[in-house]
Amino acid sequence: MMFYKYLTILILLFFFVFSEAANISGYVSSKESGEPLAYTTIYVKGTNLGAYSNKKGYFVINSIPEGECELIAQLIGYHTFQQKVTISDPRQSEFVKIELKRASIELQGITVEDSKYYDVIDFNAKEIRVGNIRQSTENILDLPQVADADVFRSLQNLPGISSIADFSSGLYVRGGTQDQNLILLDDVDVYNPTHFAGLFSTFNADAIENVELLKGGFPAKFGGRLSSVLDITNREGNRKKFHGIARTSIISSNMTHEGPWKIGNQSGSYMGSFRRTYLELVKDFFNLPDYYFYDGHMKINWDISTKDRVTNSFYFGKDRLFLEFGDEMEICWGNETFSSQWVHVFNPTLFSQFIVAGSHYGSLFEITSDADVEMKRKNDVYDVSMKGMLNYKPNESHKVDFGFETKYNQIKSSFTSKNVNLDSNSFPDLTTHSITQAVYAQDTWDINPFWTLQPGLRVSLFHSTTDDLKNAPDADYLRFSPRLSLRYKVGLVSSIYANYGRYYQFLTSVNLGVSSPIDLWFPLDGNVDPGISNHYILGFNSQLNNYLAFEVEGYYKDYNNLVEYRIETDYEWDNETGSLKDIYNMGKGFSYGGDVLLRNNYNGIEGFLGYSFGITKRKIENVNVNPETDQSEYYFPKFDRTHQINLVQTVNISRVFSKLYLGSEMKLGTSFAYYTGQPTGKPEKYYTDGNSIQILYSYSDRERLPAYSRLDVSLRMKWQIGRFGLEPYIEIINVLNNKNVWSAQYIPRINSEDNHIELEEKHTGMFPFLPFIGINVEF
Amino acid sequence: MKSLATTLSFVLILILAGCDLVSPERHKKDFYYIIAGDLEVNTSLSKDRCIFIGKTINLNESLNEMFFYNEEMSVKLQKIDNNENVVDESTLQLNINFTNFDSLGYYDPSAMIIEPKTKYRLVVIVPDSNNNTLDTLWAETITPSIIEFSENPAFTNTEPLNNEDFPILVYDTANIDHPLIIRTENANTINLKYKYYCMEELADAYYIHEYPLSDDDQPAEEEDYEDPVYGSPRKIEWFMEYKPEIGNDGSYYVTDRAYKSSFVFWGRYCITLSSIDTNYYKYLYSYEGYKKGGIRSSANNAYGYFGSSSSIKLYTKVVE
Repeated sequence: MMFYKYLTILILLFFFVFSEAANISGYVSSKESGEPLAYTTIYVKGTNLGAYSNKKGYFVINSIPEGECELIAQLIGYHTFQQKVTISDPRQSEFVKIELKRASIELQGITVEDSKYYDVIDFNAKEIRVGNIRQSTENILDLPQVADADVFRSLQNLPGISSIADFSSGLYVRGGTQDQNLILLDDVDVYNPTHFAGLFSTFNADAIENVELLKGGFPAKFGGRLSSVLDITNREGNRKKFHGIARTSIISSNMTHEGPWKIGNQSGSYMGSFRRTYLELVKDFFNLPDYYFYDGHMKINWDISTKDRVTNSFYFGKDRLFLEFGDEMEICWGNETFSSQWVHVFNPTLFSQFIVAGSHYGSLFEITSDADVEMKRKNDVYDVSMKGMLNYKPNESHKVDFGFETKYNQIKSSFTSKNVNLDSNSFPDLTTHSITQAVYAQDTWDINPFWTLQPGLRVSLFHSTTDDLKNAPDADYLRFSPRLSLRYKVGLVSSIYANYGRYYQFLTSVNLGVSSPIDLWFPLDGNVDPGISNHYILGFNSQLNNYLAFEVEGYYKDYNNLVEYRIETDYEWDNETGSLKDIYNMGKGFSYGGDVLLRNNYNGIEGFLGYSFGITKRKIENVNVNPETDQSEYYFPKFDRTHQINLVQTVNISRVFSKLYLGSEMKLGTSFAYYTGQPTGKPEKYYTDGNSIQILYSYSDRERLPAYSRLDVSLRMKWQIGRFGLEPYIEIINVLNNKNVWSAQYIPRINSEDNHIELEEKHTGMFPFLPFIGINVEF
Repeated sequence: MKSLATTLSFVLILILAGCDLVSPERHKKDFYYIIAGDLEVNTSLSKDRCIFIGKTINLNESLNEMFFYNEEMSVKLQKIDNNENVVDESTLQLNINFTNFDSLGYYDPSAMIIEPKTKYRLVVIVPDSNNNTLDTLWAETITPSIIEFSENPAFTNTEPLNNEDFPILVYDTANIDHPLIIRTENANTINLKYKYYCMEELADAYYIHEYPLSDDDQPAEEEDYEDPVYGSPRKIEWFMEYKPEIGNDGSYYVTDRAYKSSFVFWGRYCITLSSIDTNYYKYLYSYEGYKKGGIRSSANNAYGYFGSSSSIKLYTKVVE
């Protein structure tokens, strides 16, 4: 009941009366495709009045004075839009449809388009955007990347974000782990969206409109994770014409098609994309593992009216790895999601999105023998959510975001066996139901032209119950997550901001510090408190000139009630007496550091230089134990990187030299990364266990592996023949063939002459020099 | 403004860059006591099967430094009855043979036979170099019940003298035609450890399966055949908790119908099936298991395990 009281109070709080004045509202879309354009700056010339289009392309500007004014819309990569609007009534609401045309130059009859690129500074954005990075499809596609373009890998190049290895596309954001990232695909939670060995991209980049990563201090509308938010928006599809693109390489192919639809007087657009690998067809030639994955995106939009739009979005993906070594081992995992969104403009100042969404993540690890033996470990996470997200902009001083979220999760984790005399009680076998309800509200208050204050609050109520564990008490947690940001605009092109936020996590994946696609997801029960993190951020950003933008952020995060999997669970668990606390090692941690980003976009040369310093430490019970005190000690986890330098540049050579090469537009992509070596343990003493010489290891972070560095390059040549485009490309990963080290193994050998032990150190490497070729076809 | 940004960045980097990036040394003592070994039911501790009692050595020390070589040191193995009384006791003697780890440690000259389902206590008193203080190490194990192997023509439990005398196990039909069946005393859960050891030399060791990304049919080097630390893939070990099932004859059985994946190479094998006690089992499965093997110490920080087992040895030859 208490929860509903808070809900009522919050709703009342944000519906108190604001004065109203004339306003201009509307949608911004691409002239070429009709798709909404987010993050566009729209302002009234000669005034401080302005707005920023949201993900649906919607904007509203209030307090428009009577008379004629000039509306200007700007987005990098597009021509500036200008339109005169006449306001004759102080209560007038003017609706404007803005279409932006792609900026391009003509080279020998070929149109070369500017890259779509986002400003670091959003001067007309009301919200204070902290730790915010956005990337467009173009940004992602132009990078040289392993196998194919990847959202996750493109983000790994940015300061504050690190990867655990070349073989992983997981994101470790400012000391957070992979499962602490809230990954939203069209506003639906996606769990563990990774493909095998990180070789393949998580989502098909062609299907994606844009990606927004909030590295910390995220606003009140997001919750349920401790570290970051990755908000991915699928493309809505071309509303003007039919368009397709096919990409093929030696290991995978994909195809995307989009276009408008019209039935009677109703219209909209669609987009469909499918991708599959075919390694299994050539596995016998190259002795490869039997592996494939496929995934697909689909989106259908219905533009009912200027006030109402409905969008249905689907995603599915599955990986399967099969190995035979006497017995057969099969590992499968994948996600399916759907979401149905209704965008409704109640009035120009009240914009809303209502979402019904569902998601399923499943993983299976199965061993079967020819004698009808089966051992099967399954994990399923079902998610059904309803969300309402509303933006109310009563005047130019306030913008209020508020909404609700109700999420039902069912998590099943089971171990079953057939024809094996294993004790069925000795593996966690549970089904847990949980409901998370949350309401949030946040006001962005421009106190004056220089100062902006953004207070917010998210209130979450979590309840879970476990079917099979007699000793697992139900969980009931009510948690308040305050958020507060303050910004000071230094002149027209710079700002300083500070942020605080508190975050809770109610679902967690259990792993051994390094995530894998088949990690198990578990909720909490009454014995395990939700994870909690406080974020403190201080930042400065500046648009140095038309071509350069600069951003620096310092942060501190603390973590409590972290959970890691107890490996002993596999041997000690008893389903009759166990509770979730027996599965976890609990702990705490902190991280701090700073990210510096210098972005450039000049005459076809686009990219960034990033530097990141970060310290992450954790203290987990029963891990890294001090032998003298028997207490755990703080340690640097495997994903701690300390120093990180990234230089990423895409050079449109044709644009730079105003010249086509062999009649094609030529692009060179380069990406250089340097990271401090990962922490690792080292031998300190020897002992014998009666069978051989064993090593007594140091703390897990006693030394660092050699520093990591990698240079990747790509060269793309694109021929345009009528409406057909042909783009062959070559990508070379690790051009310098740097021997990057993933792990070190120590082997003690006895010298029989003097009985001394010689220690050999062996390294497991990461990607060597790897060339890829492929071709893209547009039609 | 540019200079402000630059200054801010440099200050930030300078402040943060002075941090320590690694942890300090973990094992700061000169040494830590080690006990490592298990009692085998129906046998005694012999020179061929000792219990190691000694200490850790530093990276620059030789194996000789693993022992205390103190004549005042006392090592006793005690048999304990249900009332916690010592009913039998042996004083163990040191045996050093660096060529074989099984022969490195303490044995029982009185050859006290280890009985099943019985508690044994190991008590070690270590005087310091001046004999001024004593450290006492002790550990207890309750030995497991006897397990028996169900007769099977593909296996023999005495080592054949000649290659030709090994019974044949056809790989493709091993799981179906020759499941490994163990008879247990009752329905109680048991901890089973399986060890598959290929008796072929490197030159005669041929892989049964092709492995991804490799087209070798033999291990290239000795280490590819027998890892110096774990002995794999020549030696494959695994362990699990099993729940015996009652058979048609009223006896209790554990049946393994998915074991052939433990054979990596063609040829002769020695298979050891052991029912092991909790100490040894915990040592095997725990994270840093050397701290969970049941060793206690008056001076703390004794590592290793003191366990017990009841084992069966089988011999077979795996063929296509």
